[in-house]
Amino acid sequence: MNPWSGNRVTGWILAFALAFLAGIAGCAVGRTSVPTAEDLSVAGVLSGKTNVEAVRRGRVIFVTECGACHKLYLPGEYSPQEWRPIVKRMADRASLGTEQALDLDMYLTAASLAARQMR
Amino acid sequence: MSQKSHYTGVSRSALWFRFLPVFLIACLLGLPVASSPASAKEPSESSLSTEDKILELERSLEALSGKVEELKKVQAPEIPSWVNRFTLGGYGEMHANFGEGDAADQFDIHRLVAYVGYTFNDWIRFHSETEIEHAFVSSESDGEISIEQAYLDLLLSDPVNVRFGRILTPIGILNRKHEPPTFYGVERPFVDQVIIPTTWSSDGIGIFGGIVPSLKYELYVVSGLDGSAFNATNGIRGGRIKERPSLHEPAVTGRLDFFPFVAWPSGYGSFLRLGASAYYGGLDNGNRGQNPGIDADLRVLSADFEYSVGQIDFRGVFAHENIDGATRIGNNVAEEIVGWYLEGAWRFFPDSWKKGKLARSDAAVFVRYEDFDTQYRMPAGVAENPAGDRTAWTLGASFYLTPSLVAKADYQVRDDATGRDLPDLVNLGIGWQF
Repeated sequence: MNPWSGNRVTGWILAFALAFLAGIAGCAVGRTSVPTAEDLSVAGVLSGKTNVEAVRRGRVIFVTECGACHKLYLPGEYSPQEWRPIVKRMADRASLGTEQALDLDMYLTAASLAARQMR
Repeated sequence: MSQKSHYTGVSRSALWFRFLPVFLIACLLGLPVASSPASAKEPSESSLSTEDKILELERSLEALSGKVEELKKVQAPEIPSWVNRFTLGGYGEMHANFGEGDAADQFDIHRLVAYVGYTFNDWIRFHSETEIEHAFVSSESDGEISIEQAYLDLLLSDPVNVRFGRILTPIGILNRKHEPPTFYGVERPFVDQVIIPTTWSSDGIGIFGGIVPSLKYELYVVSGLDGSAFNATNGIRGGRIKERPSLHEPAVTGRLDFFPFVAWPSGYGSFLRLGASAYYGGLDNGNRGQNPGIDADLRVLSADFEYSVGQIDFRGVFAHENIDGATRIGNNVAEEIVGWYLEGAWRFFPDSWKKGKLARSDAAVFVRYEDFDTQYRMPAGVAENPAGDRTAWTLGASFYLTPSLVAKADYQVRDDATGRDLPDLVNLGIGWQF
């Protein structure tokens, strides 16, 4: 096929348009909507006894394991009570160890609470 | 599957029932304290602050709760622990395909899939995926029953874990992530059918884990493909061996995934993954150890990304295949095969509509462009089949009744280098996972 055929040219235009849109959207939305352990600490949802390192590990698992298999549902989309059975079920499917599942649960509980506080 | 309380395996309804007596006793205890003026006049009560009273009540509740739990253990039969070790799930998709002109219109129960998993202990897991395609299986039909995944995970440490069995070859996006709610469009992208032949399973052993928190890897030695089944327009797709692949010329395959928002948490957007994957192996493999005598090798290099920012999702895949020895295969097989696609989607369902039955609903529109050529570079003296050089536009919409159940519709405009007018396609579908 001619490399300059109508479909190919339009395809490249789409590619550039999407790249431009991604850049604009990224700048417009601002920083990530997946809060860090530090964000949660500032939001006041981590008590003094909370293991901040576990929350930090939980965020890593959330992004790398949950996001690898499906759309990343943001923590605020479910309440802490709703996240728990989800974490239990999905931890088995994603081959997470018990400690990893606990870290993930701790992160999602805190992040969900923080998101609900901001509403 | 009923919802479970946190790590205990007790259903929600059972939990509610379990605490009902505690609640009733608490009401009996609590109401007089809270509402009776006479009790407030008691010297011992008046000396307690409200907080102390609440603490006292909580202690009473805990004590009562413990007694109720003990009684339950005596009275109620326990669910055997091995039952809780199973993980059940699945997905499915039904399509209606319509084409312009003489193109066949059809209803297709395309896939019905069951997942079964089992947790042997904290570090040994089993996963499987068994699939029925096209609803009916016979020697004359396209339908098939196949095991797409069946593997054991040995979870040893964050950086190194072992996987053994039938796995999903870790190339591209859709081969590993193909449940209908996870991708836009009724049918899988053409690139993910012809260039990366999803679903592409391989049998073997390998390792996976995280090199650093933001960088994950998978690396396997697996059974190879049958080069004699490659052809001009479907590329390497026919080379998958689904029954008993020979281990004559194994392949090595792996991938790396980088998550920038883990490395740099203040990045822009909610999710970004950059992936690279590769496959290299000989092609003299067949079913039941019957090797076709093909002297050729395949190398696949692929890159992909997924980016979500606000209500916009982007994803793209590029794959390049090099077949060393294409001349010896014949079948008009190319020396090089190339394909890529880029997709953008806008999830437009406003929050104000997410109420009642639509509380978990979402909707999106998307556009995808694909450019793929299974005859990209031909061996010397072999003429290119122009039908292998194709482009496709797909415009469509998805409506998620719940996050796991989606209704889809799309319109596809295709073109190839033959100059023929390929019929446009309209696809409707419904897909789910659980």
